[in-house]
Amino acid sequence: MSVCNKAIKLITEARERDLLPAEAQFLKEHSSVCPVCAEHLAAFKTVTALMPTLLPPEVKPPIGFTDRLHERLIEQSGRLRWYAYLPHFRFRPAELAVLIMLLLCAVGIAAYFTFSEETREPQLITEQTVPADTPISIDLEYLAVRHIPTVTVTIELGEGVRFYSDYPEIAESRSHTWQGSFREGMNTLPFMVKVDRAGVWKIHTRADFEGRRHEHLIMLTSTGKTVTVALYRLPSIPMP
Amino acid sequence: MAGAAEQTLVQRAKSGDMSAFEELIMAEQSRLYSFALGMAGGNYADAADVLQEALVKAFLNIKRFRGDSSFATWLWRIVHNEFLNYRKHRKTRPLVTSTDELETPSPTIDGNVTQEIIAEEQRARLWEVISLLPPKYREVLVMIDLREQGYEETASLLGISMSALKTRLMRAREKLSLLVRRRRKYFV
Repeated sequence: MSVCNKAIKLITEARERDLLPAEAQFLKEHSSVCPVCAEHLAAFKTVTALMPTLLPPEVKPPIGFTDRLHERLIEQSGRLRWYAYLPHFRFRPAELAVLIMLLLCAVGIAAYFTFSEETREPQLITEQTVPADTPISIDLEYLAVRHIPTVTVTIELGEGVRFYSDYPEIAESRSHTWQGSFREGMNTLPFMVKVDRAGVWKIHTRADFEGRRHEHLIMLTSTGKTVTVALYRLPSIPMP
Repeated sequence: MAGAAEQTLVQRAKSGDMSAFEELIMAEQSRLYSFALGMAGGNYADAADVLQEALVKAFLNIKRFRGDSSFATWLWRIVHNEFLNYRKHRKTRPLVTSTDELETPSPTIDGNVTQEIIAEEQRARLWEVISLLPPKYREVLVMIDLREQGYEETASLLGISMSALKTRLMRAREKLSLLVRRRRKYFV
């Protein structure tokens, strides 16, 4: 330690303890010959004298502080109602990282199902235009990779369209359910409808098998003279 | 404040009782303000702003207070942290904007008044120099040299050991003296 460093250290320590006679003598002698340490000693004495005077003995917040704080607390208390009662957890960084990863995975999985199924884009399969005064034959086609013993197909008619059938119970109904099985390969379920009047009408079908639901949307656009039949398929979803 | 009474108030404040919270902070408000004032380099407006923000945060987060320390200690830590955040986003307004303002007072002024003006200017300069210190040195000076807080209490509030506190305090005083020495013309 240099002589000046030792002197500066002693100057600082003198605040905390009484210096030994030898230390005090050294400081006195060194300060008398070293202008830098003499200035440091003077500065230290100035600081020591001024410090206790910087803060008044009793410092109080400015007038109006309590009122302003009260207003802020009222303003924030609305936020407190929902915010404060949330459970608080403390995580270590590693735990937090794992939690964030899990959350991201969950969001990803949810997004996959949400976007792939619930916001499904219908896919156009066929489109044809037929005379409006004739019955319209529609074929629902399902490709089965193996024999499926239990299949339930439901056809629901929207407004403006009715079943065309020799059986009154079918012709007069708005919905028809068929239960049976699919063989391996293509399976076709034909049915006939009649459009009553001009407009855009819908038919919704769903086939439930092997835990999934396969849906079709049929749009019938009638001008009164012709009907354009567009058959759409929706991506399958798990059975509700 | 007695432990049981404080606990009751804390519970009430946790359930959203604002008056209980205000009662809790009332006892500490002056002490906290003097600390904030020291940390703000003697700037009263900054000190009040920081303290208000800290107390609002304390109110919003009172559910996090688990009682590991006293409520006062918990409040102190919030004010302390708030001040560190505050400093990051806003520079403290200088108390004296130009060194030209510290010209020698007019000789026509009465001697005692002159002395008082000089002392006031030196205090303003010292605040300015304190503001230049890094926060970790400034806070120990404020707590121990300005507020004359006990070493144990200070070490506990800052979450450091006694020896670390003493070392930090020594360095803070050395740095302060060094800064004052470099501006010695204002402290003659």
